[in-house]
Amino acid sequence: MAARSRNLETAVESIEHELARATDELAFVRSRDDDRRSDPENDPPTARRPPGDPSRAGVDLDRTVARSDRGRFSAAPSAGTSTSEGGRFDRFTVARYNRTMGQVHARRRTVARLVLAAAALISLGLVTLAVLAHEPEPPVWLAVLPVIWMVPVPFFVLAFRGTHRVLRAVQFVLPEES
Amino acid sequence: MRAPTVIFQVTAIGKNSGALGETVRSVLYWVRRTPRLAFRYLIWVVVEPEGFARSPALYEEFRSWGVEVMVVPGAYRTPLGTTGKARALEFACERRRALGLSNSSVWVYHQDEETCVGQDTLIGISEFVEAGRHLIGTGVILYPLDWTGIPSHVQELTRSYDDFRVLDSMTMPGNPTTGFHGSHFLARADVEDDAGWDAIGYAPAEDLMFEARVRARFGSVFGVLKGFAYEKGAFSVRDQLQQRRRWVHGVLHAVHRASGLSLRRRLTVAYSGLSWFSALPSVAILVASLGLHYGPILELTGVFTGFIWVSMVLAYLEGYRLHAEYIPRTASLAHLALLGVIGALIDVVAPWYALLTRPSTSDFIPKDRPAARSVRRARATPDVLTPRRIGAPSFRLSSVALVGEIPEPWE
Repeated sequence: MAARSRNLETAVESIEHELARATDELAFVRSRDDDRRSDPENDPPTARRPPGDPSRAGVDLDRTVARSDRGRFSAAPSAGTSTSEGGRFDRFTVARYNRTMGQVHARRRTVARLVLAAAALISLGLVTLAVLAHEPEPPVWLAVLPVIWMVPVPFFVLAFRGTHRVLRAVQFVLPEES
Repeated sequence: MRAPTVIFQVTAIGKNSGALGETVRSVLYWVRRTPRLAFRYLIWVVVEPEGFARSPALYEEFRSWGVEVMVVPGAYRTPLGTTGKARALEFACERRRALGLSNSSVWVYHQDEETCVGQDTLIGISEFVEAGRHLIGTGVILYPLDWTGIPSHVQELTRSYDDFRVLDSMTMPGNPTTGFHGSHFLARADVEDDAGWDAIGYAPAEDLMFEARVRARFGSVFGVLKGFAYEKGAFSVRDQLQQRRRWVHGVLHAVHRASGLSLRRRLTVAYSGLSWFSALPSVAILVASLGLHYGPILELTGVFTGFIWVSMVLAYLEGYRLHAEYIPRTASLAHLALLGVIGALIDVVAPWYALLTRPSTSDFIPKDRPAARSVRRARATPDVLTPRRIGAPSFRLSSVALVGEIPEPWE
């Protein structure tokens, strides 16, 4: 009896859930139409719709999804209720991203050469100073201290190599709207 | 052919309601203004009861936008008993399984409460899921939100440039320099749910453990996610220190106590940690060199010192260039350099501070703008929650019931 009751509760829950999603879907479709009429900039709000018959939206997706949960795919947030005003995130456009990544990509070789040249110059200067200083042999315990400076060297070398490898191998630019 | 579904999942305590609201709005804003995305979407906000209790009106508003708000029940226990964020992430995995969303056509884009998306983020996600070549992807995070140019913000510039190292390491077999993110990553739902987030007890480095588990089970399935995510730095050096402390505790936990890591991974994680720990002694030894004489050893160390110094400066310069289009120039270059030095010193001290203090699950890093916090606190008082306000349609309440007990702060 208890099991049957639980099953019944689950079924009711599922139906309520589907009803909720259907309501959301309806609200979305209606508000999308409203948006189309009032705000052409919003067109086309395709993000929540795959290509195909709109009336089938949220139904003909993944067939492995439990029947009672299929409606979830149409759980698109009700359109535009709160997003008519762009926040600070409205500056985050593809064009701006592409400009930034394009510049990073374009100057990667120059940056790599400058890094190596500057590193070599600084190191040369430091080594020259150390040689010219003619410092006496320190006690062993003191001499090992600067070895601690060497600990992160492999990490920095790998980071430098990896950064330039990924910049060379990956085309970061995204397609822009025509 | 069916379109994949992307779940934008924000997993957080939920106390930074202002940042959380902006994060959700950024998704809603851009999905409606980005044509030709190759996915459908759902938005899940997974929060803890104490976060929900702080701003119930906001979460009700989320629901009215169609966002699925899940409050992880206080009584919820994972099979292995993990706590913290991993517990909430595991809860979301279970929900996906229960809802039949744990399959190869569903993807989960993970966001922290301050991870805003842009048009570029969405197109990057769209490209990634459409190509389907990789099962997990992550990309570069910028930190332009609420930028004020304080030391903790300047320090974050270096993290963005370091993300290229992260991307390279993550896509290499074995992840040699331990690269991954806890936010701005996309995972195929079945893969994530299979690997899971559960661990024995508190797992402060849940992202690291997750990456290791996925790698062990599925191999090198990681790819680069194009498009930035947009986050914000800590609002004070104290918060920066707390944040770094949590990371260090995560590294230490992974090395000492995490059972899911292979010896090789432990060694690479330990080495990354050691590199960080070596920063403070290095500075101390440098300062001491003014009085002490290290002798001929300097002829050896001098060979590498130049490269390390230049690499560190490069991270600030290139990090700044990455942000140049997104942040106002608030200070001269010299001033920025000074702020960078202060921010760097905090990072230098952080691992040792972490070593001397106990891990805490209650560390809370404020992400709401300080000015905005007091305003919102006034807005979120219980008198806003009149019965009319909370009298949402029954289906809303039923969807709440699905995810467990919701505290009722209005009572």
